[in-house]
Amino acid sequence: MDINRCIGCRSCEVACKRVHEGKGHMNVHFSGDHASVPVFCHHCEDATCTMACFSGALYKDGEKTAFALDKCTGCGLCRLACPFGVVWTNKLAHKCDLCAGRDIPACVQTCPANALTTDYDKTLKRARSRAVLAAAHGGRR
Amino acid sequence: MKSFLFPEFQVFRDENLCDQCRGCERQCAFGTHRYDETQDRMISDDFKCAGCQRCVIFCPKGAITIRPTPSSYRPNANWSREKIEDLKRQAETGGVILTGCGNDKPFRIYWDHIVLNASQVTNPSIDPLREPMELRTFLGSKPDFIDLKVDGDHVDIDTRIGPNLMIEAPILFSAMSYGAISYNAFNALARAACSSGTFFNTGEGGLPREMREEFGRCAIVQVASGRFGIDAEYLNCAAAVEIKVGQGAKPGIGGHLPGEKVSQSVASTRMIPAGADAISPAPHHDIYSIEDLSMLIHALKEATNYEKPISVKIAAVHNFAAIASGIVRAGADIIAIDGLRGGTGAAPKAIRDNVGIPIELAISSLDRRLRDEGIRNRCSIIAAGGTRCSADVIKAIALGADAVYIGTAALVAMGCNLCQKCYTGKCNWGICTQDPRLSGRLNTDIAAMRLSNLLAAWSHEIKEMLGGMGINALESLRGNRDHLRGVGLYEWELDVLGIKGAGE
Amino acid sequence: MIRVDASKCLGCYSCSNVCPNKFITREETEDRRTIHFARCSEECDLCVEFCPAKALTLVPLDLECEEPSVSFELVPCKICGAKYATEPMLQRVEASLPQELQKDTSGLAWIRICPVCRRDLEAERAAKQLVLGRSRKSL
Repeated sequence: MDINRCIGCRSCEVACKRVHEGKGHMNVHFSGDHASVPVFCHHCEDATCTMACFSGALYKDGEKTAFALDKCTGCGLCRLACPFGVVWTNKLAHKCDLCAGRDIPACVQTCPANALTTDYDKTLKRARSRAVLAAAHGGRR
Repeated sequence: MKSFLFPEFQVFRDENLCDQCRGCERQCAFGTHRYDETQDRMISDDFKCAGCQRCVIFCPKGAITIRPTPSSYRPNANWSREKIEDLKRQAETGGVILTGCGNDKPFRIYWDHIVLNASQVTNPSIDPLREPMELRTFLGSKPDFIDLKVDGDHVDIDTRIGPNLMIEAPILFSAMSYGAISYNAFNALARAACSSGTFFNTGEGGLPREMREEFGRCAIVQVASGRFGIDAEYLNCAAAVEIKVGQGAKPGIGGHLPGEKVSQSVASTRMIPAGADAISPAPHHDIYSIEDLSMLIHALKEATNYEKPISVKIAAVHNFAAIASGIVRAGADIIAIDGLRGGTGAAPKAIRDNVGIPIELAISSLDRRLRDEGIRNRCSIIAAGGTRCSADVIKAIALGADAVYIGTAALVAMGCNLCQKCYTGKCNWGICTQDPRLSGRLNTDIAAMRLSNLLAAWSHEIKEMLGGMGINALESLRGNRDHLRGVGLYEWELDVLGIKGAGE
Repeated sequence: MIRVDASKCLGCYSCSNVCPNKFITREETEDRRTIHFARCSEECDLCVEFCPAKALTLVPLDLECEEPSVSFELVPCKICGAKYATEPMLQRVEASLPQELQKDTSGLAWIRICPVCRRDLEAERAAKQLVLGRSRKSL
């Protein structure tokens, strides 16, 4: 996403929640008066959530980190393994799956400022490859 | 290609009882049930269901019923639903139809036409709870005569007696290989055999090294045509060695173990690469005549220092009695005969259903032939193939067998419901699978307890029936056909069985 | 019935979620999580199958022995103090991730922080970037 464009309207949060029956995967945080940033799954290349999942319910499917409902036992290890805290568990885990089954993710479609995109360019790739480490180094997303 | 087949089973779910616990989804390896998050309900795919009843038994609310699909075709005594659908299946795939378990076709079951005697008035019956009863059986070659040396009170046997196996009841666990069944199931059979004073047969799959020390003494190891897992240590750790020439479920062809079921552990025990199909060739590569068999029998006796009885297992087919007679003369100590109803993990359906003869006729035919030739004492007969209860066991003994092998019965005791999908490797009861997730379901302690219970229950029933006949030792019943009568049989059947009709 | 190896149990939610008969129950207060295994003769094996730590085994039913229970003190978050996980679960996550990923560039061992604070931290990081970016532009 392009941080500079976020206007803090929270439409993405609402859209995500609506599409996923009340269980949303996006949170918009406000930092004082000057900035609003949405926090969501980065689909990390070295996805730590997939490393912690013992049943194989979380796995890498190309660029995205995918989730198979039938293998999840709701153990909660993935929630603890996400450095960004964007995996939720409630009897079953759920996280952003790029709206599998829809043409484009609901948040991307909804954002009025066109701040969200599913194009992964070079900088994004670099950021996602060491998502945790690169975060503070100014890797643009 | 569009499939024209109906599902074999139908799943009925009472949605009022179901609380979407997903237990059925997790239990079924065939993937029949799945949880739909949007509708918050369980959805079942009838086409995938094998009818093993696992989900039905483990549903906490009893919300599921699984029934065979009734035939929707016009009633046709000749073209049954099974015949129609197997044919379409072959038209769709061009392949051989595989199946598991034993012959399920309505051939006459002779056990159900034979009745036992009971004592009244002239020959008092014996109460097994108050008087000692002997079911102990010795399997092996018996000498033609016994020379005794009497020295005052001391009696010595002068004749050299060949090696014999001692079992506490005339029931042994049939050959089910590790590979066809899971490690846990195999282990449970071994444990129950050792604790109940009987033996288990390793089948073609060998005996894993870690089991040899503890369970070797109760094992009959098998030398099959594929020669899987055979080395000198394997032969010598066991109590007896069995040469498998054929089996009742698929006479004339060798064993089949699909590659999906050859895990790393199975592969190392069998000494083959993992994932490779384990197909035993039909004839042994070095046995093409009875003389060749004699050479192999003697080679095994040499390898085991003449300390273990050598058994030969053949399928009961036409004229098998002549072959068996030859085998006895070739030096075998035990002959195991496997009848039409024998089970298997994988076999072509056409062969399982059409090849072989019923074991009841086979036992009688063999016992009488060997007695007529005067060589009955040189071997023991173990009958296999479709023994379902203790009454079948006792009838088998009365017809002439020394003991009985149970295969299907042992698996049913552990949980099997004969869904006949063993060859897929997806046994939900954890019995006929190598998938560690599924085989872990079969708790070895509990399964061994079930098997021991089965043996104890049948032994007790046999004692009751013997007592009822006025006999207190199984040896008195062996081959004693006068204690049997036939009901609803043709004259030729009575002749072959060697028994009279009831009332005669 | 179920036997639990308390040294292996992680205190996660698997067995209690998976048990169709609700013989395994979870009780959570602010400070502790207790998992109770009621006497069950079901032998359905699901809990054994789905335990991430392979801590459970089935044994023949024994009416005499007491029903096992495992209890864990919940570990507090290093930043906000909220109790969010059991120690064995955190150790399991630490064991499944390679060393380099367990600390972020500021040296923070993020596993020991609760997901809420993690989101806040990530938000702060992103906001800082944003602000820096804006200030660079205006130069």
